[in-house]
Amino acid sequence: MPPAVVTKDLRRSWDEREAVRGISLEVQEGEIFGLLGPNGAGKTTTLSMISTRIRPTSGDAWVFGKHVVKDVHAARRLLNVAPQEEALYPTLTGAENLDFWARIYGVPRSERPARIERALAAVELGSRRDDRVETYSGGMRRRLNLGCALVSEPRLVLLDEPTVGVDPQSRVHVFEAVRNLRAQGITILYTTHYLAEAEELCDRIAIMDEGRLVALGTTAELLACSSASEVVELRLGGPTERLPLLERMPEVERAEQHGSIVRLFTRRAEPLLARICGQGILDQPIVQVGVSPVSLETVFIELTGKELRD
Amino acid sequence: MLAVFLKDLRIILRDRWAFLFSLAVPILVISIIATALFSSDGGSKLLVPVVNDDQGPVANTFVKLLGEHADVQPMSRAEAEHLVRDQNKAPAAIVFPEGLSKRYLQGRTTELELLTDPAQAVDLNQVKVLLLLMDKDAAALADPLDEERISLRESNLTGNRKEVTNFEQNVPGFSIMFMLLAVVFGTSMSLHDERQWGTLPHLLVAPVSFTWILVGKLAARFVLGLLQMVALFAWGHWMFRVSLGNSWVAFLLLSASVVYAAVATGLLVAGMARTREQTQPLSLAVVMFLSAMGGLWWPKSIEPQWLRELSPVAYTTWAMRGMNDLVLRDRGLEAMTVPVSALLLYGTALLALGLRLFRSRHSAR
Repeated sequence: MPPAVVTKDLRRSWDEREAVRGISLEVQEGEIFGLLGPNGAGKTTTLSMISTRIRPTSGDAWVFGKHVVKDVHAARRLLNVAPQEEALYPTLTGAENLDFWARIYGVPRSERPARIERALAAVELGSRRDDRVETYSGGMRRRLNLGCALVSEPRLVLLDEPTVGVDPQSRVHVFEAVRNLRAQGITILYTTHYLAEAEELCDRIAIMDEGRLVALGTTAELLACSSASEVVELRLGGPTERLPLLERMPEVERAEQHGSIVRLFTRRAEPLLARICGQGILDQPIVQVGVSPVSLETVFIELTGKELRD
Repeated sequence: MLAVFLKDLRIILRDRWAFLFSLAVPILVISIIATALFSSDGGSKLLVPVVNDDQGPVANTFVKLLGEHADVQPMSRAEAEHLVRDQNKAPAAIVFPEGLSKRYLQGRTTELELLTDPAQAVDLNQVKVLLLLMDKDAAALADPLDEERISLRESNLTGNRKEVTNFEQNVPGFSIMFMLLAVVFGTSMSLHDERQWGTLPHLLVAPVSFTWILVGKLAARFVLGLLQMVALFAWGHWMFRVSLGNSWVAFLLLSASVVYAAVATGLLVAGMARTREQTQPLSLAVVMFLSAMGGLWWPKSIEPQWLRELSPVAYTTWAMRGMNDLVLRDRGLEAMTVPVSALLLYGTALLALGLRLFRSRHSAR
């Protein structure tokens, strides 16, 4: 059985700018695979190439063994997409929208009603099935957008930032729907720039930055990439001028300062804290101390040198 | 207030094509109307074929008098009938019968025969006025106090009716124009809506040929356009007694052909325009151009000669030719071959061009 998605040295340029610079990855059937990166990292372009929406400038991609350029129609029959921008007909009802996409994806007439009901149930919009989409809230429209990708019951669902601009309640519904899909064995390729979302949902995560894949693995594997295992956060009485001194300490892997807050990335927080307090290194009083394990954000910063919200 | 004003101005001017189109539309329409209605065209006179079976002094004088106001061309009866009936190049031919001069000079009334195409009503009335003038001038030459010695017998070469109503002259043109407005705007805007709703990118990755998706959309507009044409003509027929010709099949065939060309025009506009702001003025410009050039607003005979010769470039000219044959000349399926073929040819060419443009802009890049 071929993997759900394979890409080899996938590249895409727009005029002089290279948006995707040689992405190679494999997504196994039945997993939720996250593409994580800041806006402009090339996630949507990568997704668009896998979905056959745009052609790669070079490199190859396969969906369940079907090449996305050479065997485009076969590849399209195996996948469906929930685009980042909603793709809905506002004057049709929710059920009518689903019916339309079911027809477009060739769902047999006899199966359509059941598929529509299942898609409505998956995104919890059954009670609004006969209301026009123009009367839906933003969160409901995002959920229906996801429903439209599910109605054809594809083997691979591509979700492009499905929770952007969504209220917390709808976000929970989207997460629930995605988990249900995995339970049914459907493969999900999920782009997001929300770390928490990737950590919570995805079996494996590929971190992208400036069109490149900078890391790939499970959350645990990615966290292991970090040279630190704990983060010590010190809230001081005021901005310190001793950061260079802190950076030179052997226990400190990396240090950063935001106003009166100092973060120290270390393998072991306890001896570091003892030394800081014991030797009186700081020129400001410590107001508050916090210790937490490293997060994906830490990994991302270490790998790319910038924060994800950039 | 100033901030809003400046922001709106910036947005409007940023879409330079939309701005240019909004300027070009009125300039184009005004130019065509002015050219058609008010352009001096001294070299072009009304063509009047004359069959001079008399060849006597009176008939020759009549021909000379007519020649002062019209482009009089002597020819045989068969040639004159062909010109009026088959080519529709002249509204009527005048037949001066044998023995006309003799009877006229004896003071007896003589009957002239007028072989007419009532579909060219405006020009036909002009010929009748010319005949009155001719009779008056001739009477003045012969005997100013004498009464008229000419009577007129009309023979309709193109149908059974002696004359057509104003409604019959106006309903076809305006019906086609309103159909064009609905179909060209509807088609181009609906394709733009697909872009705006975000559904187009999703459709583009569906396991269906992009061409078939477009064909499906165009088919919906085609059916609506055809229904509109049928409804407008049915209303004209019921309300104003407008003739629909002697064949429903011919009427439907011609209507379907012109709607097909209109749908293709809508696709071409959608392929050319990048934004909603560009789509609207471009659609309007195309409809106005097709209406003016095709003679949907006025009879082509009032246009200058060069514009008449140029008008076949607009497919609406062929649509009006077919409609006039059906509605005003009571013709049937046999008269539809040329207009329907022309419309299908234009429609297919526009469809191919529109598909190419739209695909190049929106299919997988």
